[in-house]
Amino acid sequence: MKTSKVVRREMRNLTAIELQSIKSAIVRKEISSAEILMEVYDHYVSHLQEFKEVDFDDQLAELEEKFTYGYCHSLQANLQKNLRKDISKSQWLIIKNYFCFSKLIYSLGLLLILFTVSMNLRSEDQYFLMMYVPIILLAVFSIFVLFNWRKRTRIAKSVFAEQKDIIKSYLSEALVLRITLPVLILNGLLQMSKIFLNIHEIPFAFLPQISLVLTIGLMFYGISLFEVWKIKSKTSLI
Amino acid sequence: MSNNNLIKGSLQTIILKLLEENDRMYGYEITQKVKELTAGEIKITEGALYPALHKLEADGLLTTEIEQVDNRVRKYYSLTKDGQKEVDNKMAELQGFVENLQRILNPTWNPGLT
Repeated sequence: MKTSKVVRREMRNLTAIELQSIKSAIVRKEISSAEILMEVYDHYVSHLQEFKEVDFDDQLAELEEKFTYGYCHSLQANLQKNLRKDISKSQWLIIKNYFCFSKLIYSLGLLLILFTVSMNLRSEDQYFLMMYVPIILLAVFSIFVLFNWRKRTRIAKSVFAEQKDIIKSYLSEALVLRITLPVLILNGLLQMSKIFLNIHEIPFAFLPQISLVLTIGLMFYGISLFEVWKIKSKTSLI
Repeated sequence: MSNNNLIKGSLQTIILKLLEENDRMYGYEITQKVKELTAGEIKITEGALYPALHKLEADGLLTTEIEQVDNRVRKYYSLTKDGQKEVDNKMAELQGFVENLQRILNPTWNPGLT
């Protein structure tokens, strides 16, 4: 196999057949992360553009030896793991920033509004409505992320049309999971209290405090995640 | 032992240093730059490059931007503020290591006396 001894020349445009050969080689790796898929594809094309047509097959085979199925899948797995950590870290930093001097007025203003609203509520329905507002906002946010996810992965799906059903943005997926997490936890807690403590509804005496704490928590959680999305959407496929 | 084995421990430092000097680069460009600077003596393997880039990104030392090139997406890496600070630390660490290695391999060598 020809390796570094192959003479390089100026970049050339690959032919449609060559591009198809690259796509077929990459499709065989069954990569589902749009992030990894596009990075691998760009590497292949950038590399092969530097070689003459006669060297194409040898060079493609050389790349195939480097980007094996296992290697690509380990990249995907690490990306997934790192993204979860990255989102948690970014979100925590943003929440901490809310209580720094520069943003303190904004945070206190939000807390004051929520306190005022909570003090003026009277019925059980109103307290539940207050808790549902951030949950509804989180649901709307997750739909928005999902919509953007489809839009941003359009290029990857158009290039790799054969496997478009499995292509997804791992970052969007991690973010959507994160958005739905508090709802899942709340639901779990409610179910557990029903099963183990036989509590079927929240006593009215505790409802104001519980609804206020949950609303504040969910509001800060949702706003900080939205900020994470804003930062990531500038740099990634979400 | 090939150069590749020797270079493994310094890969992150090489990436950070290259990005400090070149503002933003994509994966393939980094491999080519290293090859060019070392006249082909050192080749960064793709097997090591992308995990290192993704790790540096996850550690907050690199940030990325996406750009459409022809009918594909290219991911450019550049240093974050933390990454810029880390370059000096990593460089000092590596230079210290090289000096220590020199002392082991060549006990008569003393940079302080030259």
